[in-house]
Amino acid sequence: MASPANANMNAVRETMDVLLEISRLLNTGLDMESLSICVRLCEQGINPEALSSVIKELRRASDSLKVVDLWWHSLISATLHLLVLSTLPYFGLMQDHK
Amino acid sequence: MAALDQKSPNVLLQNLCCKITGKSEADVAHQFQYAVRVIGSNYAPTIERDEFLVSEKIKKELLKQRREADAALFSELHRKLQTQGVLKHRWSILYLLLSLCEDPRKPSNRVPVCSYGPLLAQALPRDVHSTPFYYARPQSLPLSYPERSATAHNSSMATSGISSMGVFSINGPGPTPPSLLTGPGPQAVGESMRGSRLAWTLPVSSSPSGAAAAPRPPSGPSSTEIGEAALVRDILYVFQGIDGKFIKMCSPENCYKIDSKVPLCKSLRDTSSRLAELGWLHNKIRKYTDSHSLDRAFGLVGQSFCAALHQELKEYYRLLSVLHAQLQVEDDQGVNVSVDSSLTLRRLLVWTYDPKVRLKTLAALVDYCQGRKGGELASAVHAYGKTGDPHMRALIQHILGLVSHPILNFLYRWIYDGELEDTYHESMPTQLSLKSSGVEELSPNQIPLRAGTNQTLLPFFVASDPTVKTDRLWHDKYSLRKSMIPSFITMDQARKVLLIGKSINFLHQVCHDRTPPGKIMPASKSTDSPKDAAELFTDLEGAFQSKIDAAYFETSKYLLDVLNKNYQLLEHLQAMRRYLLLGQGDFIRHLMDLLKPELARAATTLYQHNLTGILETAVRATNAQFDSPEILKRLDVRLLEVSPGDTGWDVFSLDYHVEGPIATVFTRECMSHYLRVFNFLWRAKRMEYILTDIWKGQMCNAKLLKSMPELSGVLHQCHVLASEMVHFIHQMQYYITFEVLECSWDELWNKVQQAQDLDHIIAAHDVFLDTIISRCLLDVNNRSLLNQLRAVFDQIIEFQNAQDTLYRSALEELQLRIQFEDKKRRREEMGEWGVTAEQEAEENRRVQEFKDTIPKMCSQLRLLTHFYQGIVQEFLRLLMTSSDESLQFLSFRLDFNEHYKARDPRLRPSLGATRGRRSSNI
Repeated sequence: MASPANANMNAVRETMDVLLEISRLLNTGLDMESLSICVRLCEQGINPEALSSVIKELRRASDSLKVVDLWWHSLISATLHLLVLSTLPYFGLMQDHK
Repeated sequence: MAALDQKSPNVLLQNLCCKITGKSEADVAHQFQYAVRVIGSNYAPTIERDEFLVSEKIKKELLKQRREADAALFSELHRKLQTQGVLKHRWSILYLLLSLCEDPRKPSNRVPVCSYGPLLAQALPRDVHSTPFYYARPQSLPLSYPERSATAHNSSMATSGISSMGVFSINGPGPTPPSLLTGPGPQAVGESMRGSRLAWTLPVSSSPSGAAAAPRPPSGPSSTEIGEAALVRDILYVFQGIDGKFIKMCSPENCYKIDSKVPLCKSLRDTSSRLAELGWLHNKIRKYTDSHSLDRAFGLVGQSFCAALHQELKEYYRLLSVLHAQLQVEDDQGVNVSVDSSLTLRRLLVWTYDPKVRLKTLAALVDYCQGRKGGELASAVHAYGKTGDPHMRALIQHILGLVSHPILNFLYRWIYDGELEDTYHESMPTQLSLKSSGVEELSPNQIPLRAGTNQTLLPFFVASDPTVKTDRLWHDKYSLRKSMIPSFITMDQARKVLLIGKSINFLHQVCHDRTPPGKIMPASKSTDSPKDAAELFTDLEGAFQSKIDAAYFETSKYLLDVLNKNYQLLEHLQAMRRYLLLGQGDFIRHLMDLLKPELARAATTLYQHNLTGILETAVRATNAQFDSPEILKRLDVRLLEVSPGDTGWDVFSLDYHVEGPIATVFTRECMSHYLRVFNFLWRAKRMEYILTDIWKGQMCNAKLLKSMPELSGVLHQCHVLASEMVHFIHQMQYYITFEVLECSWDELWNKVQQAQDLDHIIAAHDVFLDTIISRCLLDVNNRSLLNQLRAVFDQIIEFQNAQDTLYRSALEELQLRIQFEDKKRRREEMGEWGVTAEQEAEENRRVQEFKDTIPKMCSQLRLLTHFYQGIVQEFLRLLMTSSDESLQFLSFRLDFNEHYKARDPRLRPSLGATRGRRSSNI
């Protein structure tokens, strides 16, 4: 038996599913949580143009940051690698010598 | 998944930022601020909130990516979404998704590492100007988006000589404009507007990449002190009519001048001057629209002209705003920006070439139309459209459409409703116009104003005179204002239009026929759009003419139907003929019989009701009783003004009352003409009547007076004179009845049967009356003839009197003689002497006396004859020299055996001369 609240929730869930499907079709790159936030913002009357530009900007920023991060991370990992490699024979040799 | 709860937008935004960047809340402060700023400043969307369009766009997008199955899937999902009805702003979500859509085949346009710094700052201005797109978007020019040409979306089209620019094919319902900045009417703009707005999101989504710019060629001379950029800025102000820093308006010479103190190289100076012309043109047009849009007395046509100019100026302003925006972009980006994107004077020259041509046309048009209003303005615009240049023609056509739209509105209202629209319900002082009757046009200054209407504001060429009452509605109330007729409407069409509206008003007010125009004109349409107006006026021979003709035929036919059925116009026409023009012979004869004893009395003793009673008797006794009572009740007796010494014959007249719509055809003038003709005909008839009496008398008394041989000479003279007069009068009657009345009536009847509208009938009727009057010798030219004729009539009356006395005395004498003979016989029977000597002597004396009077009578008659013949000869001579052919033929008939010609030497040469001439003509 579906109470009105349950029916409502079902409808909402279905809507979200449909929207997710559309978003996947269009290859927008939005996941469920972002999509739901966006839906809520749009329902409250936010201008979708502005919102989309914000999202794009955020992605760019995050990409660039990721790139920086990546670079940074790659730098760190490279350093770490070097360190490990440099210390590894030390450990291994020591063990071998045992 | 939680239900859609009502979190505040800020919180949601922050969540979004965290989610997308994958960072914690503290780290995204910068991005969050930026997001808030963008969203806050850009609150109202500039695109259309049309879900259908957005979904169509999405489908197109998918199809472009060759994913038809996905497009079908999307349609399915969309349908499901619509049926669920949970979301309120579906279009917004869809739009968002569309704008975030990425083609998997496209190379990633993730920004390369280096220049992300200024990106945040850069994105803002670009998104901020959400002005609706001028369809030729210089922003779409590959100034800063060179990588766009690589994308599959774009197809750049070569424009007229401006090959460096590409126009994006609009991925929407709008058509692609063929050339960049040429100007067809705003219809194309409107369509491309819609499309361009939707398509705008796509190009904008790709990022501006300043780094991918080509190496910069050196632009402009770098050695001047005033940079080209500053000049460009100035020029942009000048384009709007605002004085720039270096280029100012020089009022005495009415041109833009560059400050001569400013150090500029020659080429820059020249280019700037050329560009400044645009500002000058703009000022001119602006001045015109500003000064006239406030002028309330300018009228609707002028105002629509100003509106059209304003629209064109708006397009121009859009171009300027885009240029401004470009300038601003350069400012914001500082020096880093590539040179390809900068505005140079040369670039401005090229881009403003087409707007300049348009503005030139408009400025010339403004000059030409100075001081014109209403229909003249429309004529001026129309005249300007006769050019070979197709762009100019299209522009003028568009303006003409807008300008003639109010005229068309008026036309339709007038044709279909018969109303002159008064939109200005101000109370203006009423002026009476001095309009003489029969003048067809009033100058615009003399137009009378209806209380509450200022007719000079109406751009229409039909004016109504409010002082005219309904009985003169048809003739005087409506007139054409020739100056207001636009040049693309011919005079014939204008007259037809006037007639149509007049008919409708006539029907409403005079015939009291209130059928709505929808019944009269089953195909009548309401007012069209301006586009239809322009089309209508371009196809004048076709659509417009057919419209007017259709309205004209229908309305006139309806009017004539109403007049004939409800008001029996034709019956009244025939009744006029029968009664006033003595067509109903038996009735007239009987009337004359009855009236004879009455009218022989002095005029002052006549009473109208007596005569009316006699009229009724005559009607009832003859065929006139079978006429419809409608006609008979209008028949009446009228007594003319009495001068001293008049008998009844001189003042009697019949009358026919007309009223209502029929009075339009039978106006007061017409009726007076009819009465004059009746008078004339009645007199002639009376002469005929008198002569008949004379003849009767002669026949009766001839036998009686055979016993008095001394009278035979006198009697013979009487007979001769009487037959001369009879001949004369017979010929006159023949002439009047057959040559004048019957022929004209036949013509009139034919014309009336074939008439298409009321004006035709009125004209035919007037012609009829004019012909009759001139042929009945009643007009001014033939006054002398008429006088002669009257003299003849007078002689006839004299003769009648003379003859009466003659017969009376003769009969008296006869009576006495018979008595004497009787007495003699009786005496002889009684055995006495028949007569005594003295009796006989007395008798003889009496007889002698009688015989003595005979010569007197003889001479009297001879005098009468002489007079009569003199008058007739004069009459004949005048007839000879008259210009009317039928009168000349009358003279032929009157003198068929050249009886008069033999007597009068004057007649001979003229007769011979005219006859000779005539025979040579025949």
